[in-house]
Amino acid sequence: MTWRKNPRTLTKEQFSTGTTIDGDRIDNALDDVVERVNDIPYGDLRKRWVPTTYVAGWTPQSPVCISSASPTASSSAAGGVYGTHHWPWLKVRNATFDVAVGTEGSIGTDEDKITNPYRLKGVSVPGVHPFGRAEIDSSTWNAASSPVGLQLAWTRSWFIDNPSILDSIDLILEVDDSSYSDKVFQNTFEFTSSDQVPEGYPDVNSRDLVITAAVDSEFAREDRNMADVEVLRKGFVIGNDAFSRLSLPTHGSTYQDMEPEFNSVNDKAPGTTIQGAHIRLRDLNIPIHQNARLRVAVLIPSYQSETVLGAVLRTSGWNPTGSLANSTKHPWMQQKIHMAVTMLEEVTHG
Amino acid sequence: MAKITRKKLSRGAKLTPEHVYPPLTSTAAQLTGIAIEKEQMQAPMAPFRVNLTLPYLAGDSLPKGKITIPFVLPPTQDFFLTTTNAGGGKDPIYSGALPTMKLKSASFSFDQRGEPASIASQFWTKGLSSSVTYGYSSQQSLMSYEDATRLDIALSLHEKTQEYFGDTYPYNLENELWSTVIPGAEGYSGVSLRANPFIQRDLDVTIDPFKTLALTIYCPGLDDTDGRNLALPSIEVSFKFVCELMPRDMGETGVQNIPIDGGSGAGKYGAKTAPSVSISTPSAADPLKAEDTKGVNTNISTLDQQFQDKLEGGYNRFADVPPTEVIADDAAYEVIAVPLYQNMAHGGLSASPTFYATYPYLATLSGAGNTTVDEAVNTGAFDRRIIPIHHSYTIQHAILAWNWTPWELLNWDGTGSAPISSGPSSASDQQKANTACPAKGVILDVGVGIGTGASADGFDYEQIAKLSISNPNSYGTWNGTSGTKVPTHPSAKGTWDSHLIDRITTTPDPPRVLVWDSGGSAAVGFPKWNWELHSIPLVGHSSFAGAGYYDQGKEMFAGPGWTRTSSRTDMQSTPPDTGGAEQWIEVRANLYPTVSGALNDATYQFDQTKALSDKSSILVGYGGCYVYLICKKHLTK
Repeated sequence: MTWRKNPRTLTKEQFSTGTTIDGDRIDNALDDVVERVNDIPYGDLRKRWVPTTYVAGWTPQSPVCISSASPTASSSAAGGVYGTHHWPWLKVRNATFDVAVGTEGSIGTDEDKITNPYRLKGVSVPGVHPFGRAEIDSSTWNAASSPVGLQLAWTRSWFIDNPSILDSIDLILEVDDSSYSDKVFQNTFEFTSSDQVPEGYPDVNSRDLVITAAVDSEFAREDRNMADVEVLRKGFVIGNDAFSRLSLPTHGSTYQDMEPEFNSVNDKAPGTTIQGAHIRLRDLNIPIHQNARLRVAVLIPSYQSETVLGAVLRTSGWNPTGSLANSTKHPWMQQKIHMAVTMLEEVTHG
Repeated sequence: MAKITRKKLSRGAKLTPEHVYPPLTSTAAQLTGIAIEKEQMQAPMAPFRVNLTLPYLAGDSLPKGKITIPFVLPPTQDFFLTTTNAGGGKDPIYSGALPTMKLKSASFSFDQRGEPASIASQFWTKGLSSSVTYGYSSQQSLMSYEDATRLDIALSLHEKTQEYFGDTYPYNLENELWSTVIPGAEGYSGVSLRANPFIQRDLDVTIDPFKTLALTIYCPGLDDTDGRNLALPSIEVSFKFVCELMPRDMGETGVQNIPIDGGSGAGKYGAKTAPSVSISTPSAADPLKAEDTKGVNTNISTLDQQFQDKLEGGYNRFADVPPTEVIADDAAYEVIAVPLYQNMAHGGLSASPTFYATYPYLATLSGAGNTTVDEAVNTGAFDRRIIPIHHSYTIQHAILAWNWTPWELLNWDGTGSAPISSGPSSASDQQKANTACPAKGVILDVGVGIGTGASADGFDYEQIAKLSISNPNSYGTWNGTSGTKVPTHPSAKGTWDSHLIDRITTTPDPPRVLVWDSGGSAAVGFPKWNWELHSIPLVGHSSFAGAGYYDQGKEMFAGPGWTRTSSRTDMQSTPPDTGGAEQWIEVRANLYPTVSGALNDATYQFDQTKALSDKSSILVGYGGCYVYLICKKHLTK
C-alpha cells in the first residue's frame, strides 16, 4: 500500500476537538466528498472486473470414413474419402524440410530462413524427439538426425491492449461412449500396450497433452525463446481429467437430457453423453500486461512421421489401430474439440 | 442523474449545519438507497468482446480468400423495445435509458508457425505432380517465406438494417463502419516484428444495437494461378466493444433460475440489501463540532468507512452476492460467440456423397477400396459446443447465425480436367456446393442448455432455449403429381423463417436458390443470401413472458452456485434439473431429414426422382455457423 498522509479516503481534512474548524477547511472537505461521490474512481469498487470468454471448437472429419491410410489424389474422383486437412494443427518444430517445395529456404543450399526452430517453450514430451535421437547400438554411436514423432500445436493468439487477468482455460477432448454402436471418436488416451509406451512411462496412460499460454517478450517480440510462459501444464495423465468419473449412460436415461436429444427417434441426433477429458485450468489469476501478445496453445502428439515414411512407432489413442487404422496418422481427428479461455477485463471510462 | 450537490460557502457566512451536512446525508442516502449509478463513476462502461474464430481460411472459399461472419448486439431484455409501424412492420424504439455501445478495437491474428512465412494450404500444387489437385497436398501446413508478402488482408465491419425491421431482398450490407488493410509485406514478413496479432485501437464507432453487423476477412493472395495456394490457419478476430453499465436482473418473477437466497439474505432473488449508513445531523441552532456523534469528523468518517471498505456490487464466483451493496449499475453487456459446424473436411457440408461422408456419423464406407459411401439413415448432421462457465450471467437472447455461403469443393480453378467425377450426375454440379438445400424435407433443431456434472457426482441438463425450423426455401406441397409449386421468388417466407431476424448477402456471388418459374414448369435459379439470423427463443414464455424479437421467456440466470445459492427459481414451472450447480453452457445443432432416410437423400424439390445428393447442394455453408448468447455479466473479482 502506498504511503498516505492520512488514513482518509474521501478527504484529507481531519477535524478534531480543540483545533480550528474554519470555513475554508470545511469547504475543502465537502468539496472532496462531493467530487469523490460524483466521480467515483474505479479503485473504489470492490468488484471492478468483468469476464470475457473466447470460445472455439469443432467436430473434426470422421476417422471411420477414411478410405485408405495412403491417399492417392486421383482416387478421390471415384468417391474415395481421405483425411484432408489438419487445420489448425501445425508442427511445433520449424525446419528446412518444413519449407514448401520449390520456395526459398526449402533446400539445404539455400539460406536458412528459420527464425524459431522450436516455437513453443517447455512443451516436449517423452517419445517425441523433434530434433532426432542420438543412440548407441552394439557397434557405434548414431547421431541424432530425423525427428522421431512430432507434436502439433493449435495456437490461438490475441493482442491484449489493456491490463487483463487470464482467469481460466478449459479444454475438452470429447469422445463417444465406448458402448455406442455408431461411435466415431474413440481416443482412449492410452497406449495400446506397455511395450508401446515412451521411455519413462510407468503405465500405458497417455501423458502427452500439453497446454501452454505465453506472452511475447516486449523486447524481442518474434523470438519465441524469449516469450514469458504464463501457463504450462504437461506430463499429467489425461485420463485422470475425465469429464466425469461416473459411469454415465450413453444417453439421457438416468438424467434429463437437453434438446436436440441423443437416442431420440424424433431428434435424430447422433452422439452420446459426453465422455473424454476436461482439462480445467481455473482460478489462474495471471495478470497480463497491456499491449501483450498472448498465445494459448494446445499440443497433441503423433508417434510417427506425418508423411508416409514407415510403420507407426507407437500406437495409442492418438495413433489408433483396428477399424480406425486408416486414420492412424491423424491424431487431430480422434476427438471433438471444445475450448474456452476466460479473461477478466476492467471497467473503463470508454 | 444521481450526482449530489451542495451549497457552497461564501466568505463571511456564518457556518450552520445546512452548509455542512446536506452533502453528507445525500451521500448516505445514495449508499443506503443502493443508488450509486454509472453516471457518477469514472469508469461507467465495461468492455465486452465478440470473439470470432476460424480454424482455417483457404482458397476454396467463394470469392476465393473471402469469408464473412455476421453478428448482432441487441439490447438486453429490459431495454428491448419495438413497436408496430403503420405498414404492419416493426420499428425499434431507442429509449433514453438504452445503454450506449461503442466499438473500441479490433484484433486479428492467425498462426504463422512463429515465422515470417505464409502457410501452404491443402491445395498447394507448385512443384508437385499435376495429379495433386484434390486438396491432399503433401505441402499442406509447410511454410513459404517468399509468399508472405501476398498476405494482404482486408478486414471490415459493415452494418445493415435487419429484415425484422424492414430490409428487403437482396438484403445487402449497407454502411461500412470500419475497415483496414494489413499489408503482407509490412505485416507478416518482418523477421523481427510482425503485426500478428494485429490490433487497431481507439475506433470509437457508435453501434446501433438493432442493426446487423458483419465481419469480412478478405485475403485474395490465398489463391494463386501458379499453384502456390495458401491458408490462414487458426484465425482469431476479437472486436472489443464497451457498453454502459446497467442494473442487474433480479426478482422472483423476473429471472428464471436465479438464486433464491444469497449473501444478502434469504428469499432475495438477487435483490440487494443496503448497508446501514447513518448521518447524525445537528439542529440548526447547534454549534458545529468535530468529534461527538453529530460532529463533522465523525460523520465524514462514517462515510469514509464505506469507501475504505470499497463499494460493493456484482456477483462472486459462486453466483453469490455480498451481504450489502451500494452500486446500482453492477451488470454489463456480454456476448458469448459459439462456433458450430466449423473446420469441416471440405469447408462446409455438401450433400455430394464423397464429401458428405467426411462428416461424422453420417455414413460408413464399404466396397472395393472403401469407395462406396453408405449413408446412415435417420440421423443428422450434429454438432455441439461445451462452454464451461466460471462466472454468473443472465442470458437475454440466443441468436443463430446460419450459413449458406457457397464454396468450391476441391478448389478447382476451372481449367484442365475437373477433379471430381463422382456424386451428382451433372459434371458441373460435382465440383461445387453452391445451391442452398433444394429440398423441403429438412429440419434444423438448435438447443441451448446448461449442464452440471463435470467431475461431479451428478449429471443433468436444463434447457435454456430451443428452435426447430424446417423447409429452408419454403417450398410448397408439390410432390411430383399434385400440390402447390411455390415459391416463385426467393424472398418468400415459411416455417424456416418463423423466428427470422435477418437475411444477409455478404458477397457478390451468394449461393443460388432454386424456385419455380412463373409457369410452374421448372426450377429457376436466383441469388439467395449468405447468412440468416434466427432468434432461438428462451424457454418459459408461457409462464414468464420476456422481451425479444419473438415470443420468448424471461432472461435466464446461469452461474456455478454453492450451498447458499443452490436453490433457484423455476424454469418452465419446475425447479431446474441442474440444481443451481450449472458448470457449462451447451449449444447443440442438428440438421436432419423429416422422413425416414439419409439427410442427403432428401427429395429434390423439382424432380421427385432425384435427391439432394445429385445436386450441388449446400447443407451447411463454408466456414460453419455461430450461436450468439447475449447476456448480462456482472462485476466480479
